[in-house]
Amino acid sequence: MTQTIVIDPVTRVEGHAKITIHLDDSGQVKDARFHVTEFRGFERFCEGRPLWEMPGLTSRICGICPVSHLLASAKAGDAILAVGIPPAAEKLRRLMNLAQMLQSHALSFFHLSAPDLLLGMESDPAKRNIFALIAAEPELVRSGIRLRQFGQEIIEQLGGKKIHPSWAVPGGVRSALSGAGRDSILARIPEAQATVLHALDRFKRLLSHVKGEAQVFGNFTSLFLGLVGANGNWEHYGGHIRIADGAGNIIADHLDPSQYREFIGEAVEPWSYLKFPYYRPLGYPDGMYRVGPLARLNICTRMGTPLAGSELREFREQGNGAVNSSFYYHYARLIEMLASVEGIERLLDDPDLRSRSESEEEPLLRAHAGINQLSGVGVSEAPRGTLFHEYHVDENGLVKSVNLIIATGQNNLAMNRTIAQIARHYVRSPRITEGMLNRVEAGIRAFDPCLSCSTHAGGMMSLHVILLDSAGRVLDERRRG
Amino acid sequence: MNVLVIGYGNELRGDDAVGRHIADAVSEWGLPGVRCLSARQLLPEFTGIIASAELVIFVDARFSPDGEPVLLEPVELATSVHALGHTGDPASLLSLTQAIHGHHPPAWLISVRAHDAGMGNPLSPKTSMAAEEALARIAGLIGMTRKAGVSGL
Repeated sequence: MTQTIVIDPVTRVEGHAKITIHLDDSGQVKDARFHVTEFRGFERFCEGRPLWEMPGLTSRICGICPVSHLLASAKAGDAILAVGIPPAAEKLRRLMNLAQMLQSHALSFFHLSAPDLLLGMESDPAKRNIFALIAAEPELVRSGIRLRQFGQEIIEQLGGKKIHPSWAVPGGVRSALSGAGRDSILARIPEAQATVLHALDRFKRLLSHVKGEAQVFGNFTSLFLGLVGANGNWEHYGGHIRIADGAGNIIADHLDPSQYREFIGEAVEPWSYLKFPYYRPLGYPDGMYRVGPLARLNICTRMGTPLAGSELREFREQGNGAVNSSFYYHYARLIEMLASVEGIERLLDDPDLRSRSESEEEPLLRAHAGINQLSGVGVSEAPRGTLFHEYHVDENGLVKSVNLIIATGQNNLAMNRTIAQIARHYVRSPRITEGMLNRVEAGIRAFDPCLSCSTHAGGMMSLHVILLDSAGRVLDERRRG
Repeated sequence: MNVLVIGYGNELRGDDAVGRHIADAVSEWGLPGVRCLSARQLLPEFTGIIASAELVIFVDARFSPDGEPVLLEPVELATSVHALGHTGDPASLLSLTQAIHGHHPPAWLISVRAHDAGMGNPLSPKTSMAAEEALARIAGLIGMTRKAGVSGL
């Protein structure tokens, strides 16, 4: 008889979700589904709002990555105004995006995933927590907290506050970085770099112990999608879209992000509020692709910074052409943190961002224009993956329609497949074991999903698992959180 | 004497912001050695400044159907904390401070009864009045600390 295991809610991720694992008559895993059960409706209630409000409105989709929405929204506004923003404004936006990348990845690695990775997924859940981690690795935790704080303080220096800064606007940004702000950021670069390098070293030392886990941890070939720079460099703000396959072959390149509808379709399923983006030429669901740190490192030609570039070469040894196991999202995230720190330091040396004497003019930060196009698309790389904001407005700049494609949503098919793979390996009976629960959670957590964004919903996530037979009878049920 | 006042809550949700209003008001007193923090939520990143304080006063809204307008309670270390998320409570944050830095200051929670969490609303009249009482309690705590010469644990 068939059975279904349901995990609802899932812990230590952002948002609400549950998982159902369906067993066939022989007790083998037939399918697994990641149900996102929250709905907020930003795409609908933003209709009728002025374009100028959109960065502020959409940044409130999320409290973890508001900057990502702020920047993508501002870029959509740039397109509607039909302006090229001043160079200093772009560099400041890039600076904030790197800070966002750093603080979000630090949260994911040090706060959410480190207990699993460093204490072991078989350890007692009651002890697999931050306090056990502090006892085992006190300096790692302390430095990880400071690292996230560093990223947030850069955002605050630029935008006036750490969460939902009202700073990037259509046409540019509102304010520059002060000299004192620049100096305080520069002073902390060495510590930030040392923290990431230590975490990388710590992670690489456990790689040999987790090879077996990594093999069944969302280890399948898929497409990978993201932004790259003009010369194929790792990119987080501009550039073009590149798509590679699971062997590392580039199958599409130099795609205009604003024309995303030509190559990205969105499917819906009745059992989840999270849409299912797919690569159109291959159809649904064969057009599954992944975004985010793993994808960005698989598609880029090089990182563009020395230390991260060296780490990328070592990272690629985990795969053949492409690194496919979702477990290595954690590894990729660490390398992106390093690239972010290097990128921040490089930007602070840029003449457009340096302090100016009283006699020097401040650089232009904003291009001013009215509504010159009735639609615009803004695309940037959020910590979790590529983010698309598309707006259609009337001649007065009032929003008529909105389409958002969120990073986590683009990983939806892959997350479902990851859960199915983990479940197939660990479900052996009609009972839900701690080990299976731990790993299914950890499998989702590898993607660092922000379900607050992707639905575009809010709330803390906890885990509820239900095991059902083919007749729908509950065989076992577990809750966490 | 090094005192830290942390008021937290959502500034967009009416009485939920009372902790932040109170922290801002204390900040305006301009007392030497008193540092005020107004935040949307308690964050793990606060452990550093908590560890360097000799007294911490948390101020928050309390949504309960009844009870005193202002409650003053000592904050004890939490007996269990599951995960290090981006939100926290005073006890968990104090425990995290202890775990990371090896010590923690004495801490109090002043909770102000809230009545209206409407979007964009100002403080309700009842909560505004309670905020005045809370300020008096904070003044007393700071004054008591100064007189008793309490030092950090």
